[in-house]
Amino acid sequence: MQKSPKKETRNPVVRFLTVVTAVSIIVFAYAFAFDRTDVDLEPIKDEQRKVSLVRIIRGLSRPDIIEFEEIETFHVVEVATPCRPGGFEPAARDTNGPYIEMFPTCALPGSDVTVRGHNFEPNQGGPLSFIPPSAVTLKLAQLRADGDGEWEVTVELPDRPDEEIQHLRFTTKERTGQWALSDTASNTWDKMVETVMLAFVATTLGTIVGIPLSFLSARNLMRSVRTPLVSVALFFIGLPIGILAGRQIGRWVTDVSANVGSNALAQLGLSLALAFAGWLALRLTIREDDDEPTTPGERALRWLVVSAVVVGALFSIGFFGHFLFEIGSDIKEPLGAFGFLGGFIRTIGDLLTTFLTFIAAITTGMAGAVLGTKLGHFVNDRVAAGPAAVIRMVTGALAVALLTTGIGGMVQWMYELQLTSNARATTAGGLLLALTGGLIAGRLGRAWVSDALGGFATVARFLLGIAGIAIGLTTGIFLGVFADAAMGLFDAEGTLWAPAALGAALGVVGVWAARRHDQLPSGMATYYTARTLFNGIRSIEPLVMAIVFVVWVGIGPFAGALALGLHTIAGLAKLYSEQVESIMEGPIEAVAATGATKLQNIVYAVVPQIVPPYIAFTLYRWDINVRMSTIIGFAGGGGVGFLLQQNINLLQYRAASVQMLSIAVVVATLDFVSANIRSRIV
Amino acid sequence: MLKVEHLTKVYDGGVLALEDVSFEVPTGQFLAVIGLSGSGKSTLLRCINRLVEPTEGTITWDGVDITNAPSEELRRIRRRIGMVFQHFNLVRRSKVITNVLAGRLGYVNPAFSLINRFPAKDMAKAIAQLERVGLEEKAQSRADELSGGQQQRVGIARALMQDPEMILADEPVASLDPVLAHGIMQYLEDINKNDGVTVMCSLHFLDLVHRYADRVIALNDGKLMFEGTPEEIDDVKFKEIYGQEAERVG
Repeated sequence: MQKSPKKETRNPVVRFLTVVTAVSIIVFAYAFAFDRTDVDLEPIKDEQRKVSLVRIIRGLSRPDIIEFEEIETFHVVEVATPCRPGGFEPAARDTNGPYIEMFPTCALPGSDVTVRGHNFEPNQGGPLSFIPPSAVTLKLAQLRADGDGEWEVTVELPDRPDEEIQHLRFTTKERTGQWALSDTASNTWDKMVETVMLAFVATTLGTIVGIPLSFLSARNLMRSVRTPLVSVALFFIGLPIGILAGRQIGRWVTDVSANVGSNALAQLGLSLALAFAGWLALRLTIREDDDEPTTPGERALRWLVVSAVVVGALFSIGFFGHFLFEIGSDIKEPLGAFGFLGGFIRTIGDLLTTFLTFIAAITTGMAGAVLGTKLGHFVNDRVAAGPAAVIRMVTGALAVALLTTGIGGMVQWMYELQLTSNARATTAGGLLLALTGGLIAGRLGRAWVSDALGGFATVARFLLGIAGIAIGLTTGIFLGVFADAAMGLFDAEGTLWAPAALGAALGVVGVWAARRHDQLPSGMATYYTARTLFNGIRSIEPLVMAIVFVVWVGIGPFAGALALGLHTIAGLAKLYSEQVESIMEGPIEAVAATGATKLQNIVYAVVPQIVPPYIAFTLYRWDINVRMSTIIGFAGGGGVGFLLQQNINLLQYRAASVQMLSIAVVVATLDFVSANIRSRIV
Repeated sequence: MLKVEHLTKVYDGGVLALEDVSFEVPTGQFLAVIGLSGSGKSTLLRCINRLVEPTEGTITWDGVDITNAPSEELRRIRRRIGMVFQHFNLVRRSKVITNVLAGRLGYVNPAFSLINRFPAKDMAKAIAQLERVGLEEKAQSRADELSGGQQQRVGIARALMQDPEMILADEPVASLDPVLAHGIMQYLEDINKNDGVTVMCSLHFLDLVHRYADRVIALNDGKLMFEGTPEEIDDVKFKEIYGQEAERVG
């Protein structure tokens, strides 16, 4: 074996120069960094700042948790300003106990007087105030008695002449030895409960939504998912149709269930009856084991029954929501201290009825998409080549047209474009021809470049594609300008016709460019879409989201829970999906080999493997959410952060200290609890 | 009758795993597949139930074209083909009974199985299969509490749940103690001889091939090198299959 040549010891001069260069680079980098971060020691030397710092540290180190009960004693002397004709003598006081006196006994407003205190406890302190007839307190001085319980002070009487007798008052406080939680502590406790619950709601929401999304964004599950072109096209046609139908059904359900009125029992009865009917229908038409291949007729029947049951279920949910709302409102009062349970039931009912239309739209949208996909498979596998080609062409054009119309509508809604027809024509033409060019180039690339070139073929095809796009774009822009000049192609009102026509044309070109049995990599497309979405959402701080939600649902913990919840969905979906990507492939392969569907595979091979990390991540996220919800309060998102910010702004560091302490305690407790749970489950 | 014609598999990245492989397996035969590691045995077995998508060629089984079957039909084909793996591929955190029931997933209604509900007759069947492999007492244990040999028996029970007409066994005894190998192979033999299930089994040890196989095919570097009875493998054939440096053991 040949020995690799050892590094020759280099010329000492070169080494020296290398070191010098490296050191200079480091010095330079730090110098620049210091300049940019404004490292400046002048303020530190300022006395005033030192005093402030000491005050803050002392305040923070004395959290205002416990208060001692104190008894206030007023020691009063009558004062006349100005003096009465014939002089003035204040009412007599018990000179055996503590008392105060003023010299002279009367004086002009604004003149200096001497005040003395006698027989106080040694070192006893308190404020000396002037009390005019209006009974406001004008503080004159803060005093402390000497070792013998005496004090003396010279103060200026306020400029408040009055006919009536006024008073000077010295207030002493004595601790009785009784202690109680301070107001700050009990407020903090309330807000801390709010914070933990807010984090709880946000984490739960994030977990429920995050789990299914995490499967869609796991590379190992999605990589092999490929769908025929017709299926993809019918998916995008079925989805909006389903959503529209569902929205209609939802509104219908809302109307009907609202008409039943506020009779809770009637609502419950209808709801249960519908649920039972649905269960019976499913029971009768769907067997536990579908051993035999079902005929198309049977399949259609099954779809019909399932659709009817879904509509029935929506009605059932609508009635049930009303029932919960009514019953929750009714039991709120009688439950007394547990009235929040009634409130909870009421809110759940309200949620169900409010979001019914949304739920219906989502459900039927998905059903439409699934049905579309299945139809697509049927066309792809069973329909003869000629008709199938026509169906592909039509559905492809329709699907892309729907997509572009949707995008166009969205853009129009957001930006309220007032485009000149010239600009629109140019953009539309450019994009259309750019995509056309890309697709044609892609097809040519497949035809011309041989697979045998391996990785090189990919590069060649990529370059060809880019060239196609560039050529298409340039041509499109020129054509757009010409077309506009020639015909005024797009009028100002028909904003959506342009994208629709563009989409249809694109669809036709796309279908032409694809081959008959082409399976589109729908799995990876979903993967990248989901990933991009998560990254986008995650990059927006919950603090910023809270600001938006505060505008939408008002200041308070609900806004905070929504903001944190949304962020949690994206965060957890990412963490979860990375866990899915690291599971063992063997069981997935084995379950797939039994003839299981993708969904069954996830339930039987994937889920059991990811339960422990999912629980660990959820708990960790709860911990994160508790910490974040303290910050969310800064933006009006409720929780303890609101108090914390208030106290810091009011310079009440002792109170702020209580809140900081409580956050630390809760985070530590959560950490301990979650570590325990994890060690038990994993 | 399983018929493999001109089967070629090129993986993404250009690795040629199988090259123009053709052979036939009559129904009820015990076929051994031999060859060095990396010769394409696993790829060949996985092409048959399309866990690996073939690049070219056709596989027909009892007249049905597996290679071009649409996804629904493929599921119905797969459920009649049991598969046993070198590393057992059990879901380690699930119960043994759940692992065995998973073999039924191709038959039951997907909606019911998603909430872990199986028909009573499938439950009974799962217990019966566990009895057949002598593990009925372990039904409620977690799969990873079992020893390697026991795990492979669970794997066989899972394959049996499919009421298979063919079993693909990918090195079923390669990660087991050699003394346990015969125990596992005898189950496969029993299934083959008594239930009439076609078995395609890749093996390392030639003595196992001699003991259990009706016929042998040998792969070397993705190409079919030999096809015949175990007795026909003499020293010359052996060197062809395993290369000139190989020596017979066992």
